[in-house]
Amino acid sequence: MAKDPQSGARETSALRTGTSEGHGEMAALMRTCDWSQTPLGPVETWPQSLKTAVNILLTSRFAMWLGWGPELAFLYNDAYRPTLGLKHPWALGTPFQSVWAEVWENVRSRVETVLSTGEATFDQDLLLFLQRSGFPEETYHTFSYSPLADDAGHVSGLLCVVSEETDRVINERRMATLRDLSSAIAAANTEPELMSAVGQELGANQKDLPFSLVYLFDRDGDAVSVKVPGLLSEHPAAPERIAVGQDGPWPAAEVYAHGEIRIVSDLAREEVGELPHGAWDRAPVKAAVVPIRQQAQDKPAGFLVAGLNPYRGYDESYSGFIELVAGQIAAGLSNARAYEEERRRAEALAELDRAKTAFFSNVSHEFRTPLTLMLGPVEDMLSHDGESDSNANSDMLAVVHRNGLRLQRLVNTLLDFSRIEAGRTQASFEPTDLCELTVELASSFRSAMDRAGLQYSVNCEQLSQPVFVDREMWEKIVLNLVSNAFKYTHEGDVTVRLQERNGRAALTVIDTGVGIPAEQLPHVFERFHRVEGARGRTNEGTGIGLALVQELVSLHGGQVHVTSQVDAGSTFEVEVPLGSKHLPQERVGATRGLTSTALHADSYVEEALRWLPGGGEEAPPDAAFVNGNESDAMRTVSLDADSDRSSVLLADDNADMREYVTRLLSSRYHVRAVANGEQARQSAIADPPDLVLTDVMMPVLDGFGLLKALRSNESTRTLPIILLSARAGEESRIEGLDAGADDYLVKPFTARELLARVEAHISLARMRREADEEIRQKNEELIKANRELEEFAYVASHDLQEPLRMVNIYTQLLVRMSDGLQQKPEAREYASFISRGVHRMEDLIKDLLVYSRVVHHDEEGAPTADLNRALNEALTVLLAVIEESGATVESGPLPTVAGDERQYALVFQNLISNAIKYRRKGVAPLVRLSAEQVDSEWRIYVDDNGIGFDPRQSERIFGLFKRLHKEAYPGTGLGLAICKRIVERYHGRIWAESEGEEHGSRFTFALEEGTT
Amino acid sequence: MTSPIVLFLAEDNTGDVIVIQQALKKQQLDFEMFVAEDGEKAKRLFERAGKDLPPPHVILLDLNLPRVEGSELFSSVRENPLLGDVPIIVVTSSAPPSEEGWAQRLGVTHYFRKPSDLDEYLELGAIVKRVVKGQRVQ
Repeated sequence: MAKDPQSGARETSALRTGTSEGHGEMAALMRTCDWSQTPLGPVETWPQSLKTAVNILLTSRFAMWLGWGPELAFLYNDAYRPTLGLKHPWALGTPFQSVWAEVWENVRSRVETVLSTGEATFDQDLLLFLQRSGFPEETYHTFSYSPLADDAGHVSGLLCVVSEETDRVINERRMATLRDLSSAIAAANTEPELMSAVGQELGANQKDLPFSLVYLFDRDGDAVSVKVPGLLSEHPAAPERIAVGQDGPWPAAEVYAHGEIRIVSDLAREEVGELPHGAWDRAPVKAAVVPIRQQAQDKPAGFLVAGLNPYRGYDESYSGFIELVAGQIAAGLSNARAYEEERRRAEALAELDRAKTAFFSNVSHEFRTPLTLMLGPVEDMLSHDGESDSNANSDMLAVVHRNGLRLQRLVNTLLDFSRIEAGRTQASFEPTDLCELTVELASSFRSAMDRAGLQYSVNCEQLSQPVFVDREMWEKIVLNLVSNAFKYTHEGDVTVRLQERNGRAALTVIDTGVGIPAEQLPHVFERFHRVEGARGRTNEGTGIGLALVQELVSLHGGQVHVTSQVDAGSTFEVEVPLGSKHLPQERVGATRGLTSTALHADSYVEEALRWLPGGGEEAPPDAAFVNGNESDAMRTVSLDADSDRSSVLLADDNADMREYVTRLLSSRYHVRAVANGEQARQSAIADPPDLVLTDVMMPVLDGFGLLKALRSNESTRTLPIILLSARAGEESRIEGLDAGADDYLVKPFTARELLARVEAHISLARMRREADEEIRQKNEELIKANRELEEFAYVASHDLQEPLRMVNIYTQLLVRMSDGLQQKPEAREYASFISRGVHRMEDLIKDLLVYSRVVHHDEEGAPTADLNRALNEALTVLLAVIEESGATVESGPLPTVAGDERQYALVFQNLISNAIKYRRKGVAPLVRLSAEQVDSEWRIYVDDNGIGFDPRQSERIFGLFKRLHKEAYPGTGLGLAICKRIVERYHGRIWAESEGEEHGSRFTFALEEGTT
Repeated sequence: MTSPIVLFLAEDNTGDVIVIQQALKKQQLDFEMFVAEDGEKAKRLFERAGKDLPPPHVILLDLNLPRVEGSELFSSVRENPLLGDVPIIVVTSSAPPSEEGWAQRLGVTHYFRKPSDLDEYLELGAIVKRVVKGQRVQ
C-alpha cells in the first residue's frame, strides 16, 4: 500500500476535522485507535481512496460501514453503532468475517460478487440473526454493498449503506395481528365464536407467538383451558383444569389473586414437555402470562399465556403487543358475555310471553266453567218465565243473562288472542262470495242503526272472483268495525263499502263519529289501547276489538288502515289480496280444528242495542228461545218418551255442575251422577247407560282415562261418550276425539246445546245398535252359509275323490285285462294321460280338503305350537321331495306361538315345497327359515334362491288357484291359499316378496306374540 | 285241501267289489265272499253269520256306507258273540282317525285306504291272505 504523507496528513486532518466538528464518537475513537496494530496499518499508510471513503462514512448520519483490504477490516460510523450492539467497539478494525461471523454465510456470496465484479448489491428487509445482544436476534436489514476502489482503481473494499428495519418489520407484523384479531373478535357474538377467532388469529402469528394458551376462570376460580385450534391444549403445558389456588405450569393462582403480568422463564422444565417452536427452529424459553381482565371486576376473567419468540428480547414493544392482545380478548369476552346475557334476557322475555299467553288461555278456561253455571240456570229460568215468575224477575234475569253473554264474548275474544299469540290459530280459507257475506253481516246492524237514527248504507259491489277468507274471522272483522263505528257515531251516517281494487278486496267502514285525535292514531290497533276521552255510546270496551281486527286481517295477508279527524269521523279500511297464493296452502280449504269462538252477529247487535237509551228493555232479537216455546216442545217429547227413558251417566267433580246438568237432563233421562271417572267406570260397567257425559279434568280417573277404560271394555265399547271440558283449545278437542269420544262440549255450553247433543247421540247410538244388530244377524247368516259351504266343499271333494279313483283303477284294469288294448301303444299312452289327469285332480281335491279342514279342525288344536316341531313335521313329510331335488333346508331357532302345530306344519310344508318346486334350473334349491321379533309380533321368514316372481304379482300369489308359472311347474295353486288361510286363522299376516324373476323369493308370515 | 276262506264285505261301490275280488284272485285264494251294499244290509249280513251263513274268517268294512254310521256297524260286529274275534279290515277312501289307539279299541286289524292305483289296490289281496293265515294259525 503506497504511502502518501500529504494525503495522509489531509486524511488525518479530515479525521481531526471530524472530531473538532463534533462528528461524533466514532471519529474520536478512530483517531485514538492504534491502527498500526490492525491489518490496515497506521493511518498515514492508508490510500487516499480509503481516507475519502472513511471521511464520507464518518460524516454521514446514515448507517454505514466499510470493509477494506483482503480481510475487509471493519470501519463504521455512529449511526451504525446500534446495529453492532455489544460488538462495539471491538468490531472496529476487526475483519468483517469475524465481526459478523454469525451471518457470514448469509452475505458471503454478496460480498464476493461485489469484490469480483465491482457491481453493487441491494437487499430489502433481509432477515439476519445477529448475535449482538448476547443472543441470536431476529433482525431485518435493507442494505446495499458497493465496491470501493483503491488509488490504482482496483476493488479493494466495499461500502455498505444499511438501514436496520427490524422494528418496522416486527411492528407491522404485530399490528397486522392486532388488526386481524380485532376484526375477527368483532364478528364473534358468543364465547365459543370469540375463542375460535382468538385461536385462529393468534395461531396465524407464529413468529411473535410461537404458542399461546388461554385459560378462563370458572365460578370457583379454577382455570379451565380453552380448547380451540390455534391455542395450545391437550399438552403437558396445557392441563385442562388448574384448580383454584394451584399454579400448575403457569402461575394461575397468582394471576387470579393479583391480576398481574408474569414472565415464566423456566420453560425448559420437564413438566411442560416439548413446546411448539412456532416459526422458529427452537422452542421458546420464556412465556408471558397476561391476565384477561374484566371490566369493573377485581378478578380477571382468565389469562393468556404467550410463548415468547426466542430470537427477540421481551422489550416494551413486545410486552405492549401481548398486553394489547390480552386486552382485545378481554373486550371480546366481555361483549360475548354481554351478548349471552342479552340473549338469555330475550329468552326469558319470550318465556314470559309464552307464560302470558298460557295465562290468557287459562283464564279463559277458568271463566268457562262458572260461566256455564251462570248462563245455564239463567236460560233455564228465563225459559220458564211464562209459567209463574213475575216480569220484574225475568227482567233481572235478562240482565244477568246479557251480562253473562257479554262475559262470554270477552272470554272468547281473549281466547282468540291467546290463540293468535300462541300461533295456534288455524284459519280455514275458503273461496267466499265476500259481497254476499259482508252484506249479510253488515245488515244485521240495520235495526240498531235505524233505532239510533243513523243513516246506514251498505254498498258492496260484486267482486270478480271469490275471495279466500276464513268466514268466522271475516265475520269478526266486519262486526267489530261496524260495531265500533256504531259505538262512536252519535249522528250522521255509517257506510260500509266493499270494492275490488288492484287485485285486492277493500272493505271500508266510514263514520261521521267523534273521530280519533291524530296523536292517538298510531295506537288504535294496539291491544288494550283505548282512546282516552273518546265520547262513545258507552265506556264499556276491552280495547281489544281493533287489535283483533288487525291480527285477523294480517292472517289473511292483508292490511288495515285508519284515517280520522276529530269531530268529523273515521274511516277504517281493510284490504285483503284476492286469490290464495299469499295464504299458507295447507290452510286453504282446511277443516276447522278449533272450537268455534264465533258469537254471531246477533251477539254484537244485542250488545250494541244496549248502548242505545232504553235499549236494554227491548227484547233482543234472538232472545226468543229463552222464552220457552222450544223448551216446551222438548218437554212434550220427553213426556212421550217417559215410558222408555234412556239413561245418562254423568261424571263431574264439580257438585254445582253435577246438580245443574242433572237438573237439565232429568226431565228427559234417568241421570246417574258420580264425582269422578273411577266411579263412572264402575257404574258404567256394572250397568251400561245409554250415554256417558264426562268432565275431562277429574280426580282419581280423568275423562280420557274413563274413555279409554270404557272403550276397552266389551260391554261399554260402543257407548256414546261426550266429553265436557273447559279447555277450549284445539289440542283438547283432537285429543278428545282421537281418544274415541263421540263428541266434545266446551264449557260454557247452553242448556239447548247440551240437550241437543245428548239427544242426538242417544238416538244415533240407538240407530247404530239397531244397525249393528242387523249386521250381526247378517253376519251370522253369512257365517252359517260359509260354514255350510265349507262342509259342502269337504263333502264334495271327498265325493269327487271316489269316482276319480274308479276312473283310474278301471282304466288300468281295462288296459291290463284287454289283450287287444294291451298290444296297442296308443292305448297305454291314453291310459297314462287319464292317470295323469286323475293324479292332478286328486292333488287338487286333496288340497281343497285341507283348505276346508283348516276351518274344520283347528279349534281342537293345541293352544300353542312349537314352530321348530312343526317344521320337523313338515320336513318329514317332504323328505322325499327334498332328497330328490337335492335341496338344502336350513333353519334358525323358531318361536312358540299360539295355534295348532299341525296347522303350522302344513304352512311350512307348503312354503318349503313351494320353494323347492319353483327352483331355478340347474341351481340346487336352498331354503332358509328364520324368525325375528318385530314389535309385538313374530315374523317367520322362508327365503329361497328360486325363480322368484314379478313383485307386481305378490298380492295375487295367495289367491285360490293362482298360479304364476302355470306351464312350467305343476301344482294346484292351493298351497299358498292354504297357508294364508291358516295364518289368518291365527290373526296373522302372510306376504311374499321378490326382487323379480330369477331373484329368489321371501315368504313371511307374522304372528302376534301371544302365548309364547 | 282247505275249505274256502269266507269273507264278509260291506261295500256300496260295485267297482270296488270287483277290484277286491281281483285282488283276492291274484293271490289265488279260494274264497267265498258275501257282500252287503249298504249299512242295513251289512247289519243283517252280520246277524246271519254262523246261522244260515258260515262264520267269516275276515270282515272287510267300508265305514262310509249309506244308511248306517260306521261306528254302529262296528258295534254290530263286536256285540255279536259269533263275530267277536273276527279280524276286521277297514277298507275305505277316508283318512284314518287322528285319535291314537282307535284301532285297538275297535279291534281293527288293518286299515286299508283305497288307493287310486290299481297295483296298490291289488295289494289288498296279500293283506287279506296274511290276516286270514294268522287267524288260522291261532
